[in-house]
Amino acid sequence: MLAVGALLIGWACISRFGPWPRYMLPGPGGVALSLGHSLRTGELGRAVATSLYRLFAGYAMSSAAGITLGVMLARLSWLRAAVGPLVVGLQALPSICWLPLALLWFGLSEKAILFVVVMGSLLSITIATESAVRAVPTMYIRAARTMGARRLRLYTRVILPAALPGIVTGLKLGWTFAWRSLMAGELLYVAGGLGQLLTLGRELGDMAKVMSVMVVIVILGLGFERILFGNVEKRVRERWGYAQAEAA
Amino acid sequence: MIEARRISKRFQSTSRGVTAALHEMSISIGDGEFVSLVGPSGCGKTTLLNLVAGLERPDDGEILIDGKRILGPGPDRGVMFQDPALFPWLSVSENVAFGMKELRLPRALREERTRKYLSLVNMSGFAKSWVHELSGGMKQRVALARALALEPKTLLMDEPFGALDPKSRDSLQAELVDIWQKTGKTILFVTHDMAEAVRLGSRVIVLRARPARVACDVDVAALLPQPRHVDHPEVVELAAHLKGALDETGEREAIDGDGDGSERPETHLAGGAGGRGVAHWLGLHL
Repeated sequence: MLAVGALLIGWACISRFGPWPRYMLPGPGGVALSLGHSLRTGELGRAVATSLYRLFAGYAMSSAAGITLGVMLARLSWLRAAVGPLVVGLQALPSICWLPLALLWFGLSEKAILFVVVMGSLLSITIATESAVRAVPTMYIRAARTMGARRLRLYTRVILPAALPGIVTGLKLGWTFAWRSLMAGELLYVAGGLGQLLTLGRELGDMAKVMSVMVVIVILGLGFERILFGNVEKRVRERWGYAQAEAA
Repeated sequence: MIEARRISKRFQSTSRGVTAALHEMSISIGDGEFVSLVGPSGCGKTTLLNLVAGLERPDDGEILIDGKRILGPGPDRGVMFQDPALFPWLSVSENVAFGMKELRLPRALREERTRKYLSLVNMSGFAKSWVHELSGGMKQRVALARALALEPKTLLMDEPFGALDPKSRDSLQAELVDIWQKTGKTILFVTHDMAEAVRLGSRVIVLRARPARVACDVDVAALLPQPRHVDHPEVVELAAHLKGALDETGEREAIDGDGDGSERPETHLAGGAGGRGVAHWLGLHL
């Protein structure tokens, strides 16, 4: 709390006494006013809803596909040999670089932005899942086989649960990437959403608006990452006994 | 009745080429026997257990259970490893019920058996605990309950007490013998600890390594009645003699000298006349 307070005071001071005029660097008060205004007009609410919808849709697709692909890569050595290097290579590509292709393939549509979001998070989830599944102790699988678990049941009842802590870490990372990809995509072209609100603010020269949207983006990103994923990750690691091992 | 007929198993390793873990070995185990399978590392005892468990297939020969060839793991054989391999995402009782759920047993029966076997291994109070909350000995108790819950005719145990502290090992040994006497299951117990083998088994099969074959096969039940204890002079003496028998065949590095044995210094038995054979000892005592 103290740190946040100090930050706000510092920001207010720079805004007031700094080298930039107020309209270039508004203070916390101006930003709060702008935030209140866009909340009242419903502009902010609509943008948040649009962005979150895109985020959830893209993220749901990339989670499902990423976990499936990750498990397959971990268990099928021929597939790993064939596309493993490609997955690692493509993961190094910032997902916004897919935007030109996405625009050609899907046109100026929701599909294009979803594609960018999916490409942003898919491969990091894939890679995390693959390494988590490969790290599942063979002892678990042997024990499960002696108790009659076979084929698909072996995956759903043993391999996936055993790999869950690693998968959750991958999902958290994927979430962050999906969020960033979405903002980059929206900022560049797409209608609606928080990214576009940023562009709008810039075009109007309304820096208070720009900064208020930035604050909202940080709050949303942090909120989901820390509160949702942080708690899930912590609970999973405790249950699986990792937290204890780390403390010891 | 478990019958291994001239089974061979080879392993491919990058450093040493093909190694024969088992070569044309034949062993037969009768119903209700408690067989301790003991020998130095590399003698193929774990391989033999994995073959009976159906986790691996023999390259040659066949293993029959009650006349039927083993094609894979089955609920007629419960398996316990040195690693308890309990699933940390499940509670203790869910772990015990895991196999019963795979067999699609009705819920009421699952719950009843979970209670029954947790109480048999003295873990009733921990049904709702998480795996990470248990000590090593407690985990192996739960693993034993999990293996028993499927009510297998045969229990296959691969050094299950090898990683435990002496006190837990001692009480689990006593409980295992107790459970064996109560249930009449056939037990194949792999260990590299000769004293443990003698203390537990109604029959001890000593294997020697390279090439793996049976060094001796002793009907302990006829010599020493249960309850025995690892510290009983007769147990210590018989163990020493069996080790002597191994040494005679040139397996000095055996049993305790081999890396995996060094973690258990209390199994080093003092004394014992390596020179005298088992037959001689048996002759003196019968």
